[in-house]
Amino acid sequence: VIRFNRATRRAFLGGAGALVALPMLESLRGKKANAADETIRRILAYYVPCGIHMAKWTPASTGAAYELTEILQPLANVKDKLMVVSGLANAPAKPDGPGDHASGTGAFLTCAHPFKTEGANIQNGISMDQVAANKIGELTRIPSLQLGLEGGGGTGDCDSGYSCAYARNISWASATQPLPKITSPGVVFDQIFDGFDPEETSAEKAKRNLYRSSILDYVLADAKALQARLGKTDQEKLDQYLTGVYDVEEKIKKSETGPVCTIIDKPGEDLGFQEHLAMMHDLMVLALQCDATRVITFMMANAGSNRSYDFIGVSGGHHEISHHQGAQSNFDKLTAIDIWEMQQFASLLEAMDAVEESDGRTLLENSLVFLSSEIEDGNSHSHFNMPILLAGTGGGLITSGRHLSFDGEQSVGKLFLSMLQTVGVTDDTFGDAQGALDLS
Amino acid sequence: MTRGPWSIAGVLAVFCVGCIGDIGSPDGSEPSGGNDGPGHGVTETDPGRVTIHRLNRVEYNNTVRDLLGTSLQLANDFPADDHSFGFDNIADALTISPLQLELYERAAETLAEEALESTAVSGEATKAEAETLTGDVGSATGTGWNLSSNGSVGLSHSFPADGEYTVRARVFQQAAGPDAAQASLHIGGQTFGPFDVEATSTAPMTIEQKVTVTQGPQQVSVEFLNDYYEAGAGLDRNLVVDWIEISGPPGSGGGSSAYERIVSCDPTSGEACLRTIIGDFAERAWRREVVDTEIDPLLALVNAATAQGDDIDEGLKLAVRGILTSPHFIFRVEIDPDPTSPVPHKLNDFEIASRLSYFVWSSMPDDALFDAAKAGSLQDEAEVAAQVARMLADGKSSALVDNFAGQWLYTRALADATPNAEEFPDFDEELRESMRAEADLFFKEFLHGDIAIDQLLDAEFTFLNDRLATHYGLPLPGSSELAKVQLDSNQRGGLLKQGSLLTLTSNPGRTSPVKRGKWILTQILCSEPPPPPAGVEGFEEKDLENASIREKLEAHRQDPICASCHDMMDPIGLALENYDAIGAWRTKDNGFDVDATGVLPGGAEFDGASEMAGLISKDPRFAKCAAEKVFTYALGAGEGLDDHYLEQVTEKFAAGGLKLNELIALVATSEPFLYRRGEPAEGGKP
Repeated sequence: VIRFNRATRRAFLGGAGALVALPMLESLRGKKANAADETIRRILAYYVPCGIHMAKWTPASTGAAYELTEILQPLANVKDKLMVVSGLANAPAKPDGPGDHASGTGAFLTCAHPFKTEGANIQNGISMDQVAANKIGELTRIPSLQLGLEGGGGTGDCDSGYSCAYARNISWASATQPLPKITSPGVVFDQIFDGFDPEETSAEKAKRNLYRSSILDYVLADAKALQARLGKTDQEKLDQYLTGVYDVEEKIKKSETGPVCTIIDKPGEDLGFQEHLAMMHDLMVLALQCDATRVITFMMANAGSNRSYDFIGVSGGHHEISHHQGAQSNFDKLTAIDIWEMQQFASLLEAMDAVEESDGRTLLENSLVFLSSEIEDGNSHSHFNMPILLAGTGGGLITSGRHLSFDGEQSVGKLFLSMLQTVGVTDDTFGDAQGALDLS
Repeated sequence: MTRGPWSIAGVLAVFCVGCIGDIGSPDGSEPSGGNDGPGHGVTETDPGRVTIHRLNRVEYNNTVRDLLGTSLQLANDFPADDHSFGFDNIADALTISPLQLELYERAAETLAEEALESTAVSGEATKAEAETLTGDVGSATGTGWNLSSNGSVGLSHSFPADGEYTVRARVFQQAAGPDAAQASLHIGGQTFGPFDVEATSTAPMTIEQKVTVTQGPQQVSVEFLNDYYEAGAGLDRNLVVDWIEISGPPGSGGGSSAYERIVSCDPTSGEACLRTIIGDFAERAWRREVVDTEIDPLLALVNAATAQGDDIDEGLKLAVRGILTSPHFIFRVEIDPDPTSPVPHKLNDFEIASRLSYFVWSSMPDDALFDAAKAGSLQDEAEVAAQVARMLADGKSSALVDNFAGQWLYTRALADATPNAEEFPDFDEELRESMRAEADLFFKEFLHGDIAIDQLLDAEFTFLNDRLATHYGLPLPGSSELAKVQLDSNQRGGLLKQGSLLTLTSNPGRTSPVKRGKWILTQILCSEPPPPPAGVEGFEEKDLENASIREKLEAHRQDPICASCHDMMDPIGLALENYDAIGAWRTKDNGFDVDATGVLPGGAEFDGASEMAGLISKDPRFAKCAAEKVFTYALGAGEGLDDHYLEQVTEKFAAGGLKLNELIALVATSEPFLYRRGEPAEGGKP
């Protein structure tokens, strides 16, 4: 006899089985569903650790006629929907002294200079995805999702005096608030399906939402009363709490329209590294396909990951190998790891390209997917000539299928401004960048 | 070995700029005329202030366990807590994101549902935590018994009478391969199942079987049936048993303890009872006394449910959810009489009770601490010290092993170590668990025993099971359970010679004497060497393909920039070269004879791990470093501690014979622990 409590019953609904993505039910789309032919644009950012072996990455020629290099070869099936971008810099990522992995990760999407500290005075900038979420987040139940494979763990300092907040988070709601990522597939599932219970009637659902709102109203008043009695630093912590309450209240209001797409089986936990990655890819596609969110960031690992890739025959740890010292044996290992990373990225892009949307384009075409690393090369720790891919066409607004090369000085923030334009952001500065790149 | 290690610090300061940092040097922060500290009122020195402290994941899990008796570990799904200053309980680094708030709200719902589910459990129950039992395979973990291959774990239970009993076991799998883990229950010679165990650690499941048993002792056990292991792919299916419970026969009394504890009167009898229920629960959950006006809005939540046609129990669930989502539960709140005043004041009794319980137990205060707080006796430092002694003796003090030692000594990082399967085919989950258990049990001796902390680095005893003894090449103790063993050689004994530390300071494919040396300097002496200057790279094999690691490191130290710090790190790490990257003993590395001799920059010579450990453990920085780590963890703050307090506690710690349990009591009775002040509006950080 297996006993579940109510919450677990929800978690186990449908019984066990593999994750199967089912087509979205148009009729169940939220109230804010667009007209059938309107394009829904999304923004994703995808982080891989420890830089890239650039000699086997950068295509020899620019323009549409470029040839995929050894590392980029796995992306052949989506080559015409892919832009390789060379020669952009993230100069603010350069740390004060050592700490390139943490500062490069902190600045990954902010193009701001992370302040070196382990204490309360964390200072970065708002990240590109959060600028997008501030613009289009209100159109979906989840304004933005932060996902990754590695949570915390580890011990000691994260990187040379930089707070772990910089080394583990690429999404920043503000200069002082990192947005930690979800690593549990089950929690992502709950986010996408909003605790959906097929046995629940609409009256029960309405009552559930009423109760949740009553409780949030209560804690809101409670927190405000408490905040008034605290000192300055403590008040800032309560501000974070209050922001959270407002956000959840918004979500509850949006959940009254019902589930956004067909329920699937809840994924299991404690997956191996490769299964975990594949599951997160599936969930990302599902979240976008169901229009549960339009903004996602994903970290394949935390800054300077020393993961062992012995499952593809590479001995040693990634970070250790990335300090290659010009040794051919290390170049070969890095190439093998980078190719594996691109195989995984290709599987995500291909899955997105297999989803046809109501405007006649694919999900990939309607997205812009940015991929890069916290540094250029593991040995030099450079923050110039960053390895960058931009997949998708932003719903036909940019021309893909080419290799663009810049002089090495311009900010990656200009690329972010171009991406943000596709979702309606009209700013012309971001981080250290002035003006967007013309990608049309 | 006549020249002492006292010269280490001096030489280090000369050559390795920045290695010393604040520690071990006065750094200009001389005590500003304060008196001799605790027990004498407020001194002129600044006890500092600790930022309002959000419960971290461990603290949340432990708190709901002690508050509600639940074994759900819902915080495992919360975002990871960022750590600073080496610990994940640093208040300044603990933030709340909107996602986190939502997960708190959902967790509160799940917990209220479980706690107030009024299921009557019949019969008297005996519950055995599986980590206290012995299985025929696998090993104990922090919370259960991990059956890492096919086999079983169980107990002999004396059934009081003939009759029908219910046997339940809480289990979960570590999933791998195509199938879910399968378990069977064996009860007095009868076998039931198999049960498919699809649940994982975040939401374990309960398997249950009713069975008719005759009076007398009978074996009750859970068996794991379908082990799956694929080393290359890192796939390893295990079954973890959390507990086994035997209840019955019917009619012998009992009930759901969480429900009965919360619902202490008949809630349908009217408002007075509801106020009692809500007030009592809020007091425990918020770890302080509550006032009537705080109960009013919670009572309104109960009424909101009854107004919708739900019964009182549903209404109470809403109140419980409100209490568990409130900032008074999520945060450890300490109130300053004047939040902008820099004048220190003593914490109130309830605030002290929480500081003590989260320090020693990583959880909420128990009834005895609450009683002491209500009686006002925690204002008395002798009572605080007595409480610390009582709390250390309680099993919940294992939180100090998991959380304090796990982070100070890096034992937690063992879970993430990934030795290459090709080079180290022997390394599997059972070995990993055994290593972790050795380190944990070893540290526990210092919490409860009468041994000085310098034995942490080099001791004549350790804890072994057959798996670990095989790995170390020592005689087998004849059990899969770890037992204390006296050692007759100095090849093992002490943290530095344990598989755990040796593995987690190695790279996946080889040892790293640099990492090992750096670890000792950083964690044991609080003298972290600065990272290499920008543009300077770590050593690599390129010019020295055919050289021993010692020769490679020597070549690297030809560069004076590198040498300034590596002259300190490398010899310490090289002293451990007799232990490979998973801590197995060796006399050759890659064909070269291991040479574990060395000279510290101050001139002290050593041969091998024990002599090196002996030199380090006599370094005066060790005691102060231990005190600093305890302070950081106890306060949940990494900056703002006046050095005067650290010196004072270190002196008493050394004078008392370097006992860790005494150090914990010294910190718990220090002013920074018992006092705080407000934050002036402008630039409040001390």
